[in-house]
Amino acid sequence: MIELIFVGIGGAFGSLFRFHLGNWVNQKYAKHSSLGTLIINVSGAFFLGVVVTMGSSHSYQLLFADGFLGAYTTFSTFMYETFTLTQDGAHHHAFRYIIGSVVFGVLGFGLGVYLVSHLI
Amino acid sequence: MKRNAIIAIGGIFGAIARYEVKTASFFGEGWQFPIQTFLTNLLGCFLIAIVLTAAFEYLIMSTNLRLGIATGFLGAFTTFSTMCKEIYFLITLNQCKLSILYGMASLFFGYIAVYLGVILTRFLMERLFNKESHCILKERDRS
Repeated sequence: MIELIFVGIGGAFGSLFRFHLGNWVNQKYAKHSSLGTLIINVSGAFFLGVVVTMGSSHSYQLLFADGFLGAYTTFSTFMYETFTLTQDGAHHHAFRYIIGSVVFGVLGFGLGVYLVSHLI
Repeated sequence: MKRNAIIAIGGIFGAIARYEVKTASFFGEGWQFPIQTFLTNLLGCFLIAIVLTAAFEYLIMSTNLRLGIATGFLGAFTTFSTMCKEIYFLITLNQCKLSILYGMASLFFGYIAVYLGVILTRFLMERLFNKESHCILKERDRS
């Protein structure tokens, strides 16, 4: 039960953070409709690399990894945006968006792991 | 303020639902393929397509309800960071082929899941409920 409370609290803040950051980025750079989700997903992967490598207690992992960062990043919005791009006929943009997100997400995670294990 | 509360409540339940799937035992026990995250993400894609199509194209949902379900619940239920973590660790385990398969399958079937959700919703709205599409995809905001 206590596990679910940690995950839930992290999830609430992660979702809110995603909503407000996404809105802010998309208002600022209205031309690039999927930039908000890209920034969110890649930065979330980077911080997950940091959090996972730092280790420490189980409840800390539940709160930050499973809760906050799991909810902060999103796959469903990401795929829906890709679908709307292809609906608008922007197939190349859609392809670059999905491949770029995954490649930079994995690299970001690796960078997080590297920074914590080598520099701290 | 009310909007924040709705998104936060959706996020609480979305994150908990994802955690429950993650800790549930699956038939794929012992596989290296991360089946839990894979299925969670696909299900979330299918459901968000239904919700957002109903909201943006058929206008049958209040903004708050859409934000609660799509941005809060489904946004938190699905995850991108965990997928990146799993791809990274598959690579470090020398399972390069499996990591590429996992990434590609997530993207391909995720797209198919969204497509099916959109088509199903359009079919139901038009054939069963005689609703007209307002196709306002261009006006969509954050979700």
